[in-house]
Amino acid sequence: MRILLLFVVAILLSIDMFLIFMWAPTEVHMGHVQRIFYIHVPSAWIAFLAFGLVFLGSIQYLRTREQKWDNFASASAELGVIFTTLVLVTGPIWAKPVWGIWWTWDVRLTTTLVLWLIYVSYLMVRSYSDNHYQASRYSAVLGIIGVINLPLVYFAVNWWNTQHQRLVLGIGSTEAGLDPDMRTTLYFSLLAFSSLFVWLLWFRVFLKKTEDMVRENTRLGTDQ
Amino acid sequence: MIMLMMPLNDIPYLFGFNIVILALFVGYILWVFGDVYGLPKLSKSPFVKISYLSLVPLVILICGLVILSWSNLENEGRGYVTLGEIGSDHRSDRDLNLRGDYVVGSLIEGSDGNSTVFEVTSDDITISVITSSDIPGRFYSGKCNVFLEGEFNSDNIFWSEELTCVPDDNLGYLLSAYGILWILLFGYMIFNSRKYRELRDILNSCTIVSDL
Repeated sequence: MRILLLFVVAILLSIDMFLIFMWAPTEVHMGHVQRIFYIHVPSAWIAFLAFGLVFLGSIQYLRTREQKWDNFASASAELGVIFTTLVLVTGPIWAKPVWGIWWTWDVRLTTTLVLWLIYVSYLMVRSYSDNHYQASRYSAVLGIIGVINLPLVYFAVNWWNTQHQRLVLGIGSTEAGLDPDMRTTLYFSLLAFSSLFVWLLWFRVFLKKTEDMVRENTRLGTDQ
Repeated sequence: MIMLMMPLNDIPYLFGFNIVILALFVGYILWVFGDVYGLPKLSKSPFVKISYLSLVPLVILICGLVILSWSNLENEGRGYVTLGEIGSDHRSDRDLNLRGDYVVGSLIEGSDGNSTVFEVTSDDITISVITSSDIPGRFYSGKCNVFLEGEFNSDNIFWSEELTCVPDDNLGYLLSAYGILWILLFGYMIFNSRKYRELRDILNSCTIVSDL
């Protein structure tokens, strides 16, 4: 089952690469560099999804104090850092040839940077605390408070005049102008990246369970 | 084979690059975390490891070569090219030309701005279509439908070729973005693999201690 999931992810990503490079049309004005879109948007989606899971895991942990929820939230946060970093790096790489600048203090870009900082703070709180249970509690609180930033990131392009492209999918979006083949490729990319995220999350939670086993064994050894 | 890929503006190479890296990524996961998946442990010999790591890309490369060979048919017939996906507001300032080192056949009807009919007489079916605009130094890109009719292995071959002749293709930026995707994913899996080895060693030593 585990190996099957890995191969499903690999196949979905292979098809996704085919769609991105060989099937999706080339954008008229931006040329090939527009194909960054197919990793930039799914990464942003995963960054949102991951923080949503951090939020849920944190609430559940504070309610139940079950370690599995803390593992779930912290694994999501790690992946959130990876995918938010990807958004923040691919964005400027795309912006340079299209806007002519690497970065601007636009609301969407700035709130995304804040999201990344919240993720990093979440992980730093965990790593700097000597007491594991205290670290879990503090980071859970941060995981709940930090979710306030999500609607700001998402709706920034609609609420303020920004240089960033307006929403092309989801609530409040206007899909006009997006080629049907591009939309299909984008949806497939979202599916492929989501499956990759699910696999990575499952794997990280598995490692965290192993870490708990080691901690438990070490504690028992110390007690004896 | 190379001739078939040449006029595609290097995008197929980027596709190939990403597929090979993806294969290496899956190979790395199976290699490092093989026991999680219940796979037999590999020999510690570097030769075996390298052979294993090169196996997945090799399989994909063979599949790619088979597909490319299959698509390189013995062709004879005629076809037409239609500028289908480019907005009508831009169409008027474009001319459709068949161009390139491996142009197939000869034009038998002139372009009316919307379609060009040509004759296929070569074994190669590579077609390079360029749309040019009246703005100096700037070529537009879009999607073009290519239809072939005649004696092919299938009755009607259809494929869409992406076109771009924009001088500043920015493929370097595109490569960088996808490269960073793989660097981050590999980095994360290397971080996990170190952690996993460390935990496995601790668990093994705990088992040994408890056995004593």
